[in-house]
Amino acid sequence: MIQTENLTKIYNRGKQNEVQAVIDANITANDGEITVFVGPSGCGKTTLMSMIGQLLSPSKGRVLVDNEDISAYSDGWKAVFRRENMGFIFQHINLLPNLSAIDNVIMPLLCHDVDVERFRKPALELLQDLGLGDRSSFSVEELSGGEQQRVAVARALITEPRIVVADEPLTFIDAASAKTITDFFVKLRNEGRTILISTHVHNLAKLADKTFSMQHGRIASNTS
Amino acid sequence: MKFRLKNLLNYALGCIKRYKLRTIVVLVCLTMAATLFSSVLFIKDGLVREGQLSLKYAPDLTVQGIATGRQSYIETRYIDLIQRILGVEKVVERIWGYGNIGNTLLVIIGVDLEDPNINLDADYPIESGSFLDPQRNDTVVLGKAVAELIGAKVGNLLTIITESNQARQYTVIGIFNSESSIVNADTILMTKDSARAFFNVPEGKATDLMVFTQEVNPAYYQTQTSFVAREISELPNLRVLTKDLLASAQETTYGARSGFFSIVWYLILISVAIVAFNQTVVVGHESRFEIGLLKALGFSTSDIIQIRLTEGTVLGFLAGSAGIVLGVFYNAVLNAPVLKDVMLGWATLYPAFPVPFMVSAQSIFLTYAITVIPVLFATVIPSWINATVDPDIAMRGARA
Amino acid sequence: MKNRTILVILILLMAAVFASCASSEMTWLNKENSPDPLRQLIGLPSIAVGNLSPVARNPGLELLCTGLYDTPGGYCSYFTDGVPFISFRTGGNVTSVGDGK
Repeated sequence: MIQTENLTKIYNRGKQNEVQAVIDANITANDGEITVFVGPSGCGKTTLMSMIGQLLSPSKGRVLVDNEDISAYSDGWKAVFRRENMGFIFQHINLLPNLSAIDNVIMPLLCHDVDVERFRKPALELLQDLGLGDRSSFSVEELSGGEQQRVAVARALITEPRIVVADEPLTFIDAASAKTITDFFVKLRNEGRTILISTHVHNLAKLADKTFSMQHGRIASNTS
Repeated sequence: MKFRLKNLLNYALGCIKRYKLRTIVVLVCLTMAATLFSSVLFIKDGLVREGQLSLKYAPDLTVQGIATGRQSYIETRYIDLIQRILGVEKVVERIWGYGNIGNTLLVIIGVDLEDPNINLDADYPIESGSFLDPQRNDTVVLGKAVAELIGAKVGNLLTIITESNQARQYTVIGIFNSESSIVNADTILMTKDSARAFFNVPEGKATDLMVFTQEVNPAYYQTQTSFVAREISELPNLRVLTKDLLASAQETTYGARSGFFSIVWYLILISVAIVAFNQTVVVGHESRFEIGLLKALGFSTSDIIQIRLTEGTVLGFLAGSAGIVLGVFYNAVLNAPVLKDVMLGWATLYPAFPVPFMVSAQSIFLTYAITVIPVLFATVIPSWINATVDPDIAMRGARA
Repeated sequence: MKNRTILVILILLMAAVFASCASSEMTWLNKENSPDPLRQLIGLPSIAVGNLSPVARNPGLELLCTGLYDTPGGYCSYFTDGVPFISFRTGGNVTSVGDGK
């Protein structure tokens, strides 16, 4: 279970260009549930997701996973926590250019003490499940936006994380790819993982077990 | 742990391939700098060792005469005076000097064949002909490179113009092939009487005196030599050169010359380091984004530094090794054009000879130090700076 | 090019470096250890190494020394003509007598 307590992020505090991106966010996301954050562009969804995923240090507040304050971890322990427990799907996809699809998928395994070559087959199976089996050796530049996002989904799942954080995963992709990814989220939810998604797409919002609506950096409402 | 290390190593090597332009620029510049730097060191070490080998057989002290503040002939009456100094084993006069054949300057050495210490049957490296004949004063033995330069063979008649513009003829009785390429290239041996006649050195005078001190415990050698040198310098119109002084003078000369050029290479290296640093920091959006992404995927700061360290080390050692190999090729095969002339002096004075060079462990270490350290500095520090930033900020900042 | 290729190239180059170093050190060590009757006979360093000939100068470096306002015998001249000699004469070589009037 993931909880946040008064999670706040203020950029350029005290300066003329101060931005209060997230203010006092209190949320709960249970295991085996899809928790969705909706809101207009600039309302702080991405900032909130980044703080939950420990990619951004909060100005105030805590992030608790199973009642443990992970935001108090050192930089090194945060990296370990991310490595062992989390998978990320970024809004801007963020694959490494000059690497093939399958090499991008197995990247998160490089910091584990495993023989990465053993995971090429599972990585290929993941890509096949996402409809990219015949494109695994293509370079990232040779894939469409939708295909790239599916590779990013495979990358997020290769380590079998128990928490999946997806920031606007369907923004730049076609309908067919969106359906594939959506079906995948349902499958993961049914496996008991904790899924957090930020989106402004209704399809995903309909899947949610819990929805938090954000406005101007604050949680405006939540529905289950 | 071993898989993790292997994974990080593989990733680092992959980065070297992926950032092609940076890799090529850094490798080319560093290799060039390493080639030139190592070549200078190899020649300097070779010349210094060559000098040390020569000095090994040199007299403990060389005594020269001075007049009007400059070197002149020394009177042989000093032999008895010096012989009486405590610690002196023997004193031998020497006639030698410089002579020209064409535009080439050579050393002409008079050998005292009546000196009981000279073994005429010793295993001299005579390639053709024979050694000097004590019965004949008109013979010479040439170094192999000298013979090749002037096209001389055993039995040929050689004409050398003296300083007093006299033409003197000598028969080439032998050609030697010493292990020292320099000796082969600039030495002509003749009898002492021939040398005296050639240089017009009056009887009762010599070019210099060789002073050999008595055998002592090596711990006391310096003390004995200094004592003898001090005693000799009390005598009028003399100056004294010790072996150690000659050795340190050579070291200083070639060390200074090589050091002068090393400064140039350091400047090149600093430029390379700055370029690489700029590439990584200022222009390195890709690098910053990559580091942010790696951190997001679970790599720790120390993993990232390890990756960059591996990259930098591999690049540095690659460039250093390539530079050293090219440096050896430059010296051994090409005979160090330009550099050899600068290190030795007027090139036109010497006949062509293979420059002595030495690939010493110290020069290898220094070359690797100058290639690896700047690259590490240029890659690890910016990476560390980027790795300590929040991954989200690193990725967003790189995208902006 | 595989990642391994970079490592293989590096290892080969370094092997070449250390082989040439070992070979060079051994060669010079052999030269030092084996007696050379010719060098013994000659007993002095040649022009190139001994630098005893004032003619064996480097004009480029001499120009540099002159540009630095150095004089013959000065420190900079070690670049070009590097043979110092020992003079053990200490103290001044000027004396004066008289009452200073």
